[in-house]
Amino acid sequence: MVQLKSDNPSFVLHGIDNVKYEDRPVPEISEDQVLIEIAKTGICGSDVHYLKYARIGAFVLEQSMCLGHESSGTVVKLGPKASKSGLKVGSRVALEPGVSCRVCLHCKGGMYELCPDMSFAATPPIIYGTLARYYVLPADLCHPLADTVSFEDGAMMEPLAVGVHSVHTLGKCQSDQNVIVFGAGPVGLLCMAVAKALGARRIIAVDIQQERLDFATSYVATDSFLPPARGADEEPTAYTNRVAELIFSTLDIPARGKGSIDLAIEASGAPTCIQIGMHVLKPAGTYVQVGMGHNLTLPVPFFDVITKELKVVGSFRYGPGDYPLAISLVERGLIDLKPLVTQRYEFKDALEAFETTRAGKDPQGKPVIKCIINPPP
Amino acid sequence: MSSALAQAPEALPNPPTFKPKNNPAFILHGALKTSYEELPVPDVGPDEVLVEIKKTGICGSDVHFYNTGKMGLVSCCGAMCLGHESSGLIVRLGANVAAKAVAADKASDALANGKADKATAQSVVGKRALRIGDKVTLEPGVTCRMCHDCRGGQYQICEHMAFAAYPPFDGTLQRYYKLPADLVYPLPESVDLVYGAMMEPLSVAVHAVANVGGLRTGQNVLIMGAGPVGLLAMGVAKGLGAGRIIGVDINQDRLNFAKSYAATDTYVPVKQEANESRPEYSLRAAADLLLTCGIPARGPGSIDLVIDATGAEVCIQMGLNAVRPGGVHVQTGFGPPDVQVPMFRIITNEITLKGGWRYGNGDYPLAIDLVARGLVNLEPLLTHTFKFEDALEAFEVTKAGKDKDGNFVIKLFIMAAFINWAKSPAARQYFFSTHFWGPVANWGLPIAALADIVGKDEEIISGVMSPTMAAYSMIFMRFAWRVQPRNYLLFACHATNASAQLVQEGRFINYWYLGGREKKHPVGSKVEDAVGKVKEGVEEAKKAVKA
Repeated sequence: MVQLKSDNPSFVLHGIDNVKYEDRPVPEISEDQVLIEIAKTGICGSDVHYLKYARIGAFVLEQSMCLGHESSGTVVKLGPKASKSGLKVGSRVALEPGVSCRVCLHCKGGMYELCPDMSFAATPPIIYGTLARYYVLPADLCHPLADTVSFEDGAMMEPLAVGVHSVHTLGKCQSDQNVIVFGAGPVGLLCMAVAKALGARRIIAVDIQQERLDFATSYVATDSFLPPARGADEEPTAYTNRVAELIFSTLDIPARGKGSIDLAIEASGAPTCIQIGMHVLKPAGTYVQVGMGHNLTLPVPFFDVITKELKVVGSFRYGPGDYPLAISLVERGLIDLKPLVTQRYEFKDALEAFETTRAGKDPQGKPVIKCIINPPP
Repeated sequence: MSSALAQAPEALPNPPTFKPKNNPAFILHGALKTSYEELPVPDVGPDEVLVEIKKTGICGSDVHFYNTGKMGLVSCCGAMCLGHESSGLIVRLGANVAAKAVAADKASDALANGKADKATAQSVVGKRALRIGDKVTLEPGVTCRMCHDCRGGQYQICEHMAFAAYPPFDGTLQRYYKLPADLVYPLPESVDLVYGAMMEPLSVAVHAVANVGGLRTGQNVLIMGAGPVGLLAMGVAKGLGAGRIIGVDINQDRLNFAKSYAATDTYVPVKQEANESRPEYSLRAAADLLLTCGIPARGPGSIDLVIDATGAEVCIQMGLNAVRPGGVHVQTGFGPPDVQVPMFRIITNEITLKGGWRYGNGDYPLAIDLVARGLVNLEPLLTHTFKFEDALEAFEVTKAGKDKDGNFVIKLFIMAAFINWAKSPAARQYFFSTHFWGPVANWGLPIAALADIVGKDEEIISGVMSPTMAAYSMIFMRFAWRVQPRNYLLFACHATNASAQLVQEGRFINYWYLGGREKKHPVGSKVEDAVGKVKEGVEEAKKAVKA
């Protein structure tokens, strides 16, 4: 029997740039839920966005909300119906922080990520987040971690599951396929890692920052591409066509047939990447949009979509089977998450983690991929 | 039960206190042992509703439990309420469900504000909130919602499924039944409660044909078995725009009904030869099916989808042999647990063999919609109804109706089925055929024999003709039985005559050789014998004189 601490220090957002450490009550659990003592928490671009804007699209901060949703921890208490899940006190788990209703058509149909009544950590109107000591989740949303998988790896299962959902579940990436990934930030890198783990032949990283491309090729990418700047008087269409042609010629990639690009993952949200991605895909190829950019109403080259019969798919968070596969790929050594943890912070310095992530570099000039925050002591 | 971080605000069920009537339930204690007992009325959880059951259909599985006390690997242990195909009226809403109804009213009021009438507004609000008094159909399987299969979109195979009338869970043959709100579906105005109770088996058919089978408009479907599930599968196939729907059964009457209902073609398989193995037979029967119905083995017009609703090994083999290369075979029928399949054909023709179990996500809504839109007509399938207190009779009737060895006929069941058949085009065809009038003419013979037994003296019986006639009728009994289609009327005619002739022969022997004559005419027979002797004596004397 684990002795629970009586306090629950939490990192709470009150408004734009307004965060406070609060001692919130230790949550009660019931039925099929478990209480988790948080071990590690990663920071995502969305967390930073809430700090800076107190909203993302239609999700608007209305009450003070604890931040954080990428975490791992230890089970310290089980609800009366939670033991069916196989979890025990002391189980090391990765948290899947989205509780869906279970009973709607989407939930029962195997696409719970689309549930309209989803309660997601650190997303309004939910007031709970994982940057705290304790967190409550239904037992089936706590995924066991093997002893060889660290808590830091565990905390990264959340963004890795996003990568799995985009590349594997929706992108249906197969062994020996050629994959192009736009955006070499954390999500893009994780998508590349999944593609490699699934046996992709070529993984082409595309970014506008050479530094990020260098990291990508040192990590998992087989090729990288830095698009040239658009000419001052160059028409957008002409520009994207030119860039597509450059990709084909400099990387020796045909437009169709053996060696052509099967799958395009868009992880930047940038409009030009969307167009370039559809230009370079082979006929009947798959285009997955996971990156959420600033402006989400964008021109799309429908000529390519129609004449090449492209499959264009939106990817949102993760669904059934994504966490288990993510954990499996790491456990089997097919994905190494350690190079992606670039900064570590104590709980009391959490705000610094946010600022660094926003800046893209820490005060020492080291680029940021993923900041990990320790739990409250 | 599901849980969410954001709990609904403190709310009460609607109505907060509920005064139920009594709750009699039809309980199975073991094979053939039933009784009526009072069961407690359940309380509703926040996400549940309480339904007052109005109609319940009976399924083969219910009857099987009644008959044997078990089904497959499961045994009925202790008292269990039967029934799982039901519809009824909502009488109580759980706290969260009640709150949703209130919220929906508010939302539709806001929408309606001057712009549209409330009813329209309510349907615009989206997922229709459940209300007291709603007419609903029940999906009686509660799953865990949390396991890999529930989360992955296949809740029908959840290992923690709690299914009505499947041990140890009580069924719906009681007054009240509770279910999670998402497992009761409001019925449209136009769909009566009695058809609401048929949504359960209809959803089984929808699941097999549309969901697992993936039927597309224009495809050709072969359905093995014209029982309730087979017939419903044919109805669904028709409603979904299938091209040809071929029904197969060994029972011509079932096929006649299927043809009048939804099938475009019907087929009775050729008989298996004495020295023919099952695989050989089913291959031959499949080829004969295709030939008889004019169906090519592959390409346009061939069979895209087979639904087996029999579970019989030969039918499964037949279906797998008849489906086109690349086709799909869906197994719903329960038979022996292990069955031989033509594996060579499955491999080399890339046939997909899938199991269909009950129903899953989206099947009930589709079933209800098919009926509401008039694409599936359930009326001809409803043969008759019983009162709750006559539930046992309903079981016995269903049992007897299907019992091939039953040597008693329950009028009500047969009458109901007969009346339905008599109204169909198949019946008209029958009454204009030699198949009918031939035997009618032949009945003159046994009727005459019966009249002789009852009304005539033994003296008119011919001791040679009677056994001859009996043998003649026995030969034609065999003919009537073996002819395709089997002619029961002719068989009955000759069976009656054979019996009557044997009775006459018995009377003859008894009369002349076992003292019947002496008993009947004690004086007269002696006088006749005496006269006979005198006559003989006179003849001999005459001969002696002549000589």
